[in-house]
Amino acid sequence: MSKRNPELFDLIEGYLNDRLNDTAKREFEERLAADVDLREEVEKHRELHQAMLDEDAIRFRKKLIRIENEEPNIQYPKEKRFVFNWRIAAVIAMVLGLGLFFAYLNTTSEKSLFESHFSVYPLEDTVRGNQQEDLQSAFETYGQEDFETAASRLETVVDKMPDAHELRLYLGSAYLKIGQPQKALSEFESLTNSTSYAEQAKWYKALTYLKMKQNDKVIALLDDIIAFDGIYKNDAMNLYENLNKQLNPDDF
Amino acid sequence: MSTKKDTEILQGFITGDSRVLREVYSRHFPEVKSYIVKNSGTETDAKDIFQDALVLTYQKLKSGSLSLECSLATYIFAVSRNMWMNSLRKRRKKITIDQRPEISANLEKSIFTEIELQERKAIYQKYFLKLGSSCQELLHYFFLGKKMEEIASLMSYSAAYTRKKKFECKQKLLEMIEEDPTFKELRSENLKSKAK
Repeated sequence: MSKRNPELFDLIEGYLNDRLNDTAKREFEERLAADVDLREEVEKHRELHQAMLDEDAIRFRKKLIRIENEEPNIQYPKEKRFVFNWRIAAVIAMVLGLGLFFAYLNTTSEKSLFESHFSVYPLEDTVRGNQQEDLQSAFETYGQEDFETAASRLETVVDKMPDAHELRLYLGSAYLKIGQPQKALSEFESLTNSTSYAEQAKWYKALTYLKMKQNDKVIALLDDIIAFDGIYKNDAMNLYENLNKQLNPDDF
Repeated sequence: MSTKKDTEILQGFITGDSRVLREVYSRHFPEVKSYIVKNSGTETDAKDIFQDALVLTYQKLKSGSLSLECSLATYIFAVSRNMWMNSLRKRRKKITIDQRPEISANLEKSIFTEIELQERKAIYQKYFLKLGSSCQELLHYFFLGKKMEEIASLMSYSAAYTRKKKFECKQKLLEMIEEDPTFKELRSENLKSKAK
């Protein structure tokens, strides 16, 4: 076999895709019959083409690589930062007086706790690849963090596809981002009995109540999520601990 | 684990939910890693095997050709174990500390057949993902069957440069694959079977 070059690749690809004319095909087959290395090369191209047609597996593998490369302790840094801020806050409180300290807590800590724990329901490659145009455009704006537009487009799609439960997690997340927790709550509540998304819905419902400062409801939901021992258990335990610190600062 | 949770994890696995996949990694990778490291492997071997096992499980579940008679965790471990045994066999090494999963002989046999079928495909896909992003994008269009002019316009290249780049990317990919030890083993097995 001659050294690899663009012409050889074009010839092999033409042969495999049945694009050679009769003469070129016959000549190439004669070369193949006489050249074991060329036969092996053609086989590699054939296998490569076949392997590449399985886009779904490649997408899945890509996602696994991304997960494998993630930092192992990525879930916890915010918690540590929060403890540190408490110490600073305590010094300020000593200087400015307890009254001012609690006023500061009431106005800001709830907000920062929500922001520390909330991230929108993540877009998956599988949904990004969806062919439906209006859904595609809703996910596009969601991915670009234009949550106003994403919410309005998702509303339209959810109306058309009421059984597409996962979409409600995206819509609810977008509502939370644009400060409409009541609307978000109704989306998450509609999923509480769904078989596939009940746990996700509970977690986002807990965050919505956190945003609405209804801490009793947050705690009840977190208890539930922790007892369920599912994929949100660690998130729920972190939030539970931080919320407890905020509600009972003397215990810490 | 509750049945409801099993269903949820299975569902999330099939849809490729990143949270579920993270959970699968954190719960089940340590067991696979420990098994492989105890049996002449390295952490990198364990990562490769675990990734291949997850892809194979995903494909089987997605195509509906697998009805799980055991938990997802047991199945993933069984696939990883068989993949590693297969790899050791090719390197003429033996398992020293075995850990048999509780699955039927039939399921074990079907896992083994599936591994043989997917092995080469997995190598091609793995190295494709090691290429730079522009090579991946160009080859992706190429394998979709798009014409050179179309790819050139999509990537804002000239037609001549697109053709040259396609050759370079494909050549690089084939060279990487040829250097892979498993690919070399498969190739020599193939040659031996042809010689018989």
